[in-house]
Amino acid sequence: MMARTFLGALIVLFAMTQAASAGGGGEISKYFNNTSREVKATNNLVQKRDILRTSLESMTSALDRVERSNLVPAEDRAGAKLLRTTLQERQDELGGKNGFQPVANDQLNSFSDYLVQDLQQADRYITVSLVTLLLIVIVLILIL
Amino acid sequence: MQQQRKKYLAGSAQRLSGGFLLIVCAGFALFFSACGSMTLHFDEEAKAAKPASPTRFSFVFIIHGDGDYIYHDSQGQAHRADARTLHAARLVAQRRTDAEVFIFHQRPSAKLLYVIPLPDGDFLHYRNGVLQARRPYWRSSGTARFEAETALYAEYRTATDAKRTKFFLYFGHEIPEFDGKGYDASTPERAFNVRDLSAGVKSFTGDSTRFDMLVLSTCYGGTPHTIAALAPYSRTIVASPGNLHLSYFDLRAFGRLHLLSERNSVQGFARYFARQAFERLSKKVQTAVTVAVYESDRARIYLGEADSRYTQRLASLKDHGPAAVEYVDCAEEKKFVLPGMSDGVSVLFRPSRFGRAKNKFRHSGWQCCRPLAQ
Repeated sequence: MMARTFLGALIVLFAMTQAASAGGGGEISKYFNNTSREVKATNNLVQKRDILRTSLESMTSALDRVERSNLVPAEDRAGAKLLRTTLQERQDELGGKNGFQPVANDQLNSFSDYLVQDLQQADRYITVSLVTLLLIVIVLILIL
Repeated sequence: MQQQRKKYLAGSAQRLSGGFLLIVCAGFALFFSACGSMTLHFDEEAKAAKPASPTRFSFVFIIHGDGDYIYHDSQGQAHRADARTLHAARLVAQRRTDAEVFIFHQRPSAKLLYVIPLPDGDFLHYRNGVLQARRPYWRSSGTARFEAETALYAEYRTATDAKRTKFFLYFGHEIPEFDGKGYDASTPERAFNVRDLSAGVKSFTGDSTRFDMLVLSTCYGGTPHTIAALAPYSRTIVASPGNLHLSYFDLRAFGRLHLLSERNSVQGFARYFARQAFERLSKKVQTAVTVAVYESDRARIYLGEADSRYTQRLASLKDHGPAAVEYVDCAEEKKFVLPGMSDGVSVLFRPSRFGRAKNKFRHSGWQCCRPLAQ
C-alpha cells in the first residue's frame, strides 16, 4: 500500500513537472498528437476509429472527474465546460450523432489532425488555469 | 576511521563548495557574456562579401514567444512557432540585400540561479543582407509596451530621406481587445492588448508616414476594433479574422518584392502575400483558413460606425471571461451589417474540414465577438 502511494505520488510529481514546463495546455495537445500518430500508424479502419473514440472518451472522463472533485477554481468552470463541450462535439462528429454525419473512413487521419490543430490554435479553449490543466493531465495519466 | 570519515566529508564539502563556486562563476560569466553581447557583433566578412545595394525596403518584425507556442505538424513533429518564425524572418533579412530589417524576439523572462534577472528580448538588426547587431534587451513593463523596441529601432536605423517601402509584422497569440493581463506567460501581471499594439506601431512610425503594409499574424486579427486601431498607422493590413494556426503566415512572398513595381501598388503585393499565405495554410491545416487584406482608407467608411458599435459590445463583455465569449463572422450579426462592409476588404476563405462550420462558404472579412450561446 505504501509502495503504491509512493509510486502514485511520484507519478503525480513527474506529471506536474512535465505539464508545468509545457504550460499545461501543451500536454493536452501532446496527448491528441500521440492519438493522431497512433491513428496514422494503423491501416485498420476499425482500429483507427476506436483509437480516436477511446482517446476522446478518456480526456472527457478526466475532465469530468476533475470538475466533480471541487478542486477546479470557480473562474475555471466556464473554460472547463467549453473544453468539455468541444470534446463532446468531436465525439458526436466521429460517431455521427447530434446532427453530424459520421466522419468517413478515408477522413479519419485528417480528423485526427483536426483534433490536434483545433486545440493548438484555439488557445481560447484552454482558458482554464494551470492548476486545472495539471489536474486534468494527472487524472488522465492515472486512468490510462 | 572517524578521522578518515571527517577528512572525507571535509574533502567532499570542499569539492562541493568548489563546485558551487564554479557554478556561480560560470553563471556570472554567462551573465556578463550576455551583457557583453550588448556590444555590436559585426559580421565583417559577410559585409565585405556582399555589395551594398540601395536600401528600398524596411521591415520590423515583432515575434512574441512568451507563451505556449508549441504546435505539431501532420507528421506529429513538435515545433516552436516563435523559433520557426524567427528563422523565417532571418532568412528574409539575409536574402533581401535591398532592405533594412529589425527583428525583436520577445522571450519569457528568466532568472539566472533563480536570482539574477536575464534579458527577455533579443534584437537583431540587418542591413543589406548582413547582420549589423545582435543584442539581448529588457522589455518594458510600463504602459508603453514597445518602449524598448522603439528605442532600439531609433538607435540603429539608418537615417535617410530616400523613400522606402515599410513593413511591420507581428506574430503571436490572439491579442486581447481589452485588459490583456496574462498575455505574457512568464509575467502574467504585464498586460498587452490591441491598444498597446496600436500605440507601439505608432511609436515606430514616429512623426513620419504610415507603414505601407502591416501583417498581423494572430488569431482574430480582423475585428472592427483591431483594424480601426491599426488603420491610422498602415496603408494596408493583412490579418486573419478567424483562427490562425501557429504555423502562421508564410513569409516567402517577401522574396518577390519586385511584384510591388509590377503590380504597381502595395495593395497588389499584399493580395499576393495573402494568397501565398492562404494556399500554404490551406494545404497544412484542417481547420478554417481566413486571410483578409484591408485597405485602411477604403475600409474607414465601414469602420466609422462598426467600431463604435463594436466598442459598445466589448464594454458589455468586460465581465465575461474569455470562455464565455465566442467569435463569429460579423455578417451573421445584423448590428454589424452596415454600408461599406465589403469596401476595401479582400477575403480568402476556406471552411474548416470538420466541425459545425464546415458548410460555411463565405466570410465577410470581419469577425465580431458576442456572448457565447448557451
